[in-house]
Amino acid sequence: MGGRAAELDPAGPLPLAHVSPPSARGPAHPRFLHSAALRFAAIYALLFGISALALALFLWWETAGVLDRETDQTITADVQSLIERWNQGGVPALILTIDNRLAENVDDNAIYLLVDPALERIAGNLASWPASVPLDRTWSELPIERAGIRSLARVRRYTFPDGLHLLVGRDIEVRAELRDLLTGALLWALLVVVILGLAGAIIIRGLFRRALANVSTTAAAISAGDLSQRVRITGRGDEFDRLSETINEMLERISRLMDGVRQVSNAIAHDLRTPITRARARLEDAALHAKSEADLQAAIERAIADLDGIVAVFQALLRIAEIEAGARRSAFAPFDAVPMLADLVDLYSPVAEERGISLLLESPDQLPFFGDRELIQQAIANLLDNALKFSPPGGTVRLSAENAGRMIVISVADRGPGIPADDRVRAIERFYRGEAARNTPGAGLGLALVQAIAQLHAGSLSLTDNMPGLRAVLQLPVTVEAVHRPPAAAADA
Amino acid sequence: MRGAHWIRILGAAAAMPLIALMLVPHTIAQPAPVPLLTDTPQYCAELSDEVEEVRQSLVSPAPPEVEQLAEEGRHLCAMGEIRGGIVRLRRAMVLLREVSGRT
Repeated sequence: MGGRAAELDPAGPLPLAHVSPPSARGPAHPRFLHSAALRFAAIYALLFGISALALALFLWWETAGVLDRETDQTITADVQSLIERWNQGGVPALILTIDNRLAENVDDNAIYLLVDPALERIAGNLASWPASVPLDRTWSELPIERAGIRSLARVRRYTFPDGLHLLVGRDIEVRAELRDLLTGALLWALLVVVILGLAGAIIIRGLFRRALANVSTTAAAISAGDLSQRVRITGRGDEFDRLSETINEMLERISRLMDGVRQVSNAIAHDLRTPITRARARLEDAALHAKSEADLQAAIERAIADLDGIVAVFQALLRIAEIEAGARRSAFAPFDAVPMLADLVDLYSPVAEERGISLLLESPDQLPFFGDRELIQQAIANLLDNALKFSPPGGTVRLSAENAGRMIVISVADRGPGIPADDRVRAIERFYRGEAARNTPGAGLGLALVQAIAQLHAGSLSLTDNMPGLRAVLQLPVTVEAVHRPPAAAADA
Repeated sequence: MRGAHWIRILGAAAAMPLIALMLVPHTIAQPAPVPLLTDTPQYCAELSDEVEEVRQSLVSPAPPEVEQLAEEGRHLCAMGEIRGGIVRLRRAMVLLREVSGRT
């Protein structure tokens, strides 16, 4: 493990924040604003605060709000009743009603004042029109004095058509005290909410940082060169565990790919060293020991053949790389695979006959397919080549094709030595040479090329036991284009 | 741990307005209160006279609790318990109105 990774403190600042260049973070904001943990904590505190505020407002509406609304309704009903009395009996009836209501006000909370247009008192229990109640405002809160004690009243103003002004209200001191009490309690509760919200935010931030420290520590160790490190999984099965699993899977895949690259590099170096050394030895031998121009010419030709073999290997590697990169996808077109298979059988029949091998073709009348005809042909040719190469004389190589739903399945089966089950997966890798192939020509790239072609067509190559022999199965999905654009129509076009 | 430091600062900043809000009701200047005329000894005397006037106007005798409430009211007003006295006189008035309404 690198020294840098060993120095990381899981509870300390996130290492990734340190390695990011400042330019990648946008404008120069204060450092703490770049902390995702702080953002989450702030969001938590905000949501907590909003929830608490909403609850406080609801409580207020349902308690102090109800009392206020009831008071307003009572005052409004009282004003309406007095207006009716004025309509029925004029000012004298209004004065009498006000006096009677004051005389019967057992609750001791009623406030009335009737003044003339010059604001001179006519009736009621207020000495004069209060300066704090403007004539253009309907509702007011009025401080009053009751037997030397300060109190608060809620009053409603009404102006009669003849210019008289009426003020009706209720002493709301008790309700105001209750409201103040409630307000104070809610504000203190809000303070507690702020404190709890901040405490919760700090805890959330700590949890978030601790969860991320696990990932960042591993990432720092890997960036320091230790590819064996994996993110620790807590076993809780939460989002962080799933993230850790995904990262670990990604690391496994990267590791496998790097192993593959290393293996291919080693294989290239190993497989090319032999023909290059051989060509060099031949040229050196010819230079030192050739007795005639013909000997030199022969040595040069053999060296050229060796170098051609090397070039062929490179071409095969480049072709596989090209196919894997998907560069050939533009050559896709609909075609019927059956004539192509027949052509291949015709092509390989002379070789098969020469070795005493029966080459059989089993296929339906038509096999519409959408893909690169040349590549598919090369893939099947590679499979046939392998099958003929490893079949014993008198054996049979069977090339069969069938339409299995939305898939065409092409298989090449031989009666040769086959490949042991443990080696079948590796047999598809580049430069793999099985025990049976040690003494046969080839670079171990044929099946890798077939695999690349299958993957280009979203298909797969699998090797199974033919008992005896090997059965190579190419499964290729039939796409919509193959169905909707039959080969004949495409050919006409 | 600079983030935690900033959280503490932000928390303190958020708490300040709340504390200020709690102090506001006690510091805002309010207008001078208007005195109520129905909390005075004069109104107590007026109400007492009115109760007596209504009682005497009844055809049938007033219920005994009317006299009791009126007496208590007058006594409390005389003792300086104006609001308590007025409330009793008002109760007496309500009872008398009910009786006069029935007759």
